[in-house]
This record gives sequence, structure tokens and C-alpha cells, in this order.
Amino acid sequence: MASGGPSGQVVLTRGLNCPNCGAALTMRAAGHSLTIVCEHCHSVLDAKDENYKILSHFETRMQFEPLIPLGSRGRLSGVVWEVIGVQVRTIEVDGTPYSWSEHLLFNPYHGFRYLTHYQGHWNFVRTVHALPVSSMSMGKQAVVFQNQTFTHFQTATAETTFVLGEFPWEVQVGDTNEVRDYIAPPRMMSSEATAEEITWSLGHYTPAAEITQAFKLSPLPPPEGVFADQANPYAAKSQGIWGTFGVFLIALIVLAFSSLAMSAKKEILSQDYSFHRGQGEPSFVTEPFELAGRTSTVELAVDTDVNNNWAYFNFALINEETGKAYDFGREISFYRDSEGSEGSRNDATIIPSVPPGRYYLRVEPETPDSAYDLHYHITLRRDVPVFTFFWLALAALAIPPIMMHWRSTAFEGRRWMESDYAPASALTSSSGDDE
Amino acid sequence: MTRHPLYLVYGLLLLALVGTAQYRGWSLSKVNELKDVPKTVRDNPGAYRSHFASYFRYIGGK
Repeated sequence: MASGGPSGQVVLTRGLNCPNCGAALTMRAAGHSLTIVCEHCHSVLDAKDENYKILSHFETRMQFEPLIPLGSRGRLSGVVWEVIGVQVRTIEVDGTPYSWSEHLLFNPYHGFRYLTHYQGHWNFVRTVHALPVSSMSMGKQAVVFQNQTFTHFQTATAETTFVLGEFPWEVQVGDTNEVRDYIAPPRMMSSEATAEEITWSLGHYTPAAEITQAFKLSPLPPPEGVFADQANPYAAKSQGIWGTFGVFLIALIVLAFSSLAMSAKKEILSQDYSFHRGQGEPSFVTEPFELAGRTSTVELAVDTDVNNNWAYFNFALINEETGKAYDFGREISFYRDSEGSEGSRNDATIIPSVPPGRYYLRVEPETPDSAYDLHYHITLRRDVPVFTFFWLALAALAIPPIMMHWRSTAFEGRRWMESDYAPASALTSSSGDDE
Repeated sequence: MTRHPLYLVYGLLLLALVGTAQYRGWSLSKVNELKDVPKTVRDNPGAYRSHFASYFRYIGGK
């Protein structure tokens, strides 16, 4: 096959034999590749040399099978790419090696791209030629590229531990680079520094399903954990749900004010009474009164003069016509000394859902002894707004956004747990994963 | 708002519930409802036995 290359060069796909072991090899990016690695004997051959001179040879115990086989073609970002090489790179953290693979992709018109893979997470990567600008973000080092700030995530020394196929550079097992990763999910900028140069690349997190579909593969391993530049699926949801919560909050406030404005709060009864224990029957009833309007609340308020004492009231709001009674008791106590006071001389309670009709109130006061006269005032009001349900609704409305926010924060916590900025406790208690 | 249809429905139901509670005068107050209280209570209040008459209450203080 011959076609025009990125710079007008002719691209050839041609067959050859390994000069070391004689195995058949395929050059997929002839004219662009500098080295080709024999997958049988692991000889690294000079692709520019007409006799494919052996540059080096590496021994490996690593059994590595690329998830996307060499020669596979797939369409990503509207371009058909062919996998021409795979390398495995390894970093060591606290004595534990962590490896990821990089599939080298080639298109004769668009050049080279990379598909990196670590524990089910994929990134579609291209090298960039413009230099990002150093900056700071959230107290961390950062770089700005294309008006986007990438926050430093991790710095590590990566060693090439396995290679297969063709490469546009002189690949060597044992090559090391200092790799710095900066993230702005779902994108990541990485710099790879050798003694001679620094190369910048820009990766875009790509779901495994997209890779599977692009290269027509059987299902790839599912992602494990949270990757450095994996988009937080809860972040946008969290923002959106808080917006909806704000709308509900406004609606709730409007409802509360409407309720306050529309409530009649009509005074039905306002009367002074006194009580002295032991002087005849303590209970009495009031004159009948009319509760008008729709089924609504009735507020009963009691103001007393208790001091370092208590009083108890049995109340019954009785419908004169139907005999239905709303029976309840209220305790009032108030104590005071040089250190302060406790309790209250006053009390108010709401009798819920009282239908209209003609009622009277039965009152039965009670005091601990006959040593004092209890003076008190009873007030009854019809259709008084109750705000308990507004507070309950506010709490209930806040639960989903708080849970979403918590999930989003937890996701970010798991992301940064894998970074250079993980809490010290996390570093000692978990093995940690690195790209 | 349309990104969270379940939350939207949940919130609207809550608002409707609060509106209904407000209109119908619901409350969480502890009130015991009794039926058929005899009319004689009007003339003899002491004959009525309150549900809360034997209610235990703390009578201590500071």
C-alpha cells in the first residue's frame, strides 16, 4: 500500500524478516518509523537502515498482550488510526511498580497519536508544539494551555519496560523520563523530560466503550477506581441540582409569605383567669364561640405568672354541636435563681385541622400546692400559620443536593488520593494507584 | 431543572404537600381527638375526664 504521508512522503506498508530470528515483520508506517521491534525475539531494529540493523535486544519476562492488537484500525475523532506500536511504562511508588500501556496510532495524513491505558481508563493523546504557560491553581503548580488551567497532579520517573512494533523514535527498554501530569478533567497535559528535551502532550479521557466501538473489539476491562483526568459525573449534576434547589427555595419562601399574608389570625377568645388549689372544682368551661371559615388551625396561648413553680393545664376544645373534642395538656414551668432562669411563663400550641362550628373550651388547671394563686390569660386565635412544614420541606429539599454534592466531593477525593497531594494517612494505609 | 426530573417531581410534590398542609391547617402538635363528648360537660365540667389528666409530668426545678 502506498499513500501520501503528513509531509507528502510516500507511506509504505511492507513485509520483512527479522535479521535476528527470521520472523516475519510488517512495517506499517514505513518512511516514518525509526525503529521496529520484533515481537518474537524482541530485537530493536533500525527501520531507516535498508538491512534493518539490530540496534539492541531486550530480555523480558513480561507477558504482555496489547488490548488493541497491532495493525488494528479504528476511527477516533473522525480519523482512522492504525495501531503500529505498543509500549509499557512503569513507575515505582513506595517500592511498588505501577505500569500502563501506550498504544501508538498512525495515520498517514495526521501523523501519530497515543492511546494510553491504565486499569480500564483510556486517554487519546497528541503531542503539542505550543508551550503551556506556568501558573498556580488551588495552591498547586499549574500550566495554562488554550486558556485552560491544568493543575499539577503527579510527578514520577517512568521507565519503558516493554516495547512492540514501530516507533518514530529510537525506542529502548530501560529509557527513563520524568513525567509531570497536569489535569483539567477530562483533559490532561503531560510533560516528559529527558536530559535533552521536554515534550508536551495533551490527553483527552475517552470511555472504554468508545475505544471498543472504534476498534470493533470485544468488551474491554471496566475501569477501576477514579483516573486523574476522568470527568466527575456528579460535578455538573451537583451544580444543576443546587440550581433547582434554589428555585424550590424561592417557591417555598413565596408560599410561606403567601400563607402568612392570607392567614386570618383572628382572635376568638382573650380572657384572664385565676386558680387557687383546693377551692372547689378546678375545671370550668368558657362561653361558646364561633370558629368560622374553612377547616384550619386554632392557636391556644397561655400567659401565666408562675415563678419558681409549675402549672399544668388540661384543655379540651369541644364542638358544641357534634361532641367532638380536641383534648390536650400543657405544662408551664418557670424557675429562676442567681445563676439564671429556666423554662417559660408562657406557652402556645396549635390545634390542627379544626372544622368550622360552635365550640367551647374546657380548662382544668393544676398546681403543685395551695400556697399560691395562679393567674393566667388564655388567648384563642383562628387560622394561624404553622411554619413547621416549611422547615421540614426545606430539609427534605436539601437532602438530594447535599447527597449529590457529597458524592461529587467523594469522587474528587478518590481522584486526588492517587496524586502527589494525597493525605499522608492515605499514602500509608493504601497501596495507591498511579497512572 | 429538566436534568433532574426525579428531583423536580420530588420537589413539586413537597411544595404541594406544604401548600395542602398550610391550607388544611395541619400541625404536628400532640392533640387527642375524642368523639361524642356528652353535652352535660357544658354544665358539669368536672364530669369530663381528660386524656391527659394522668399524664406524668416533671415537677422539679432548678
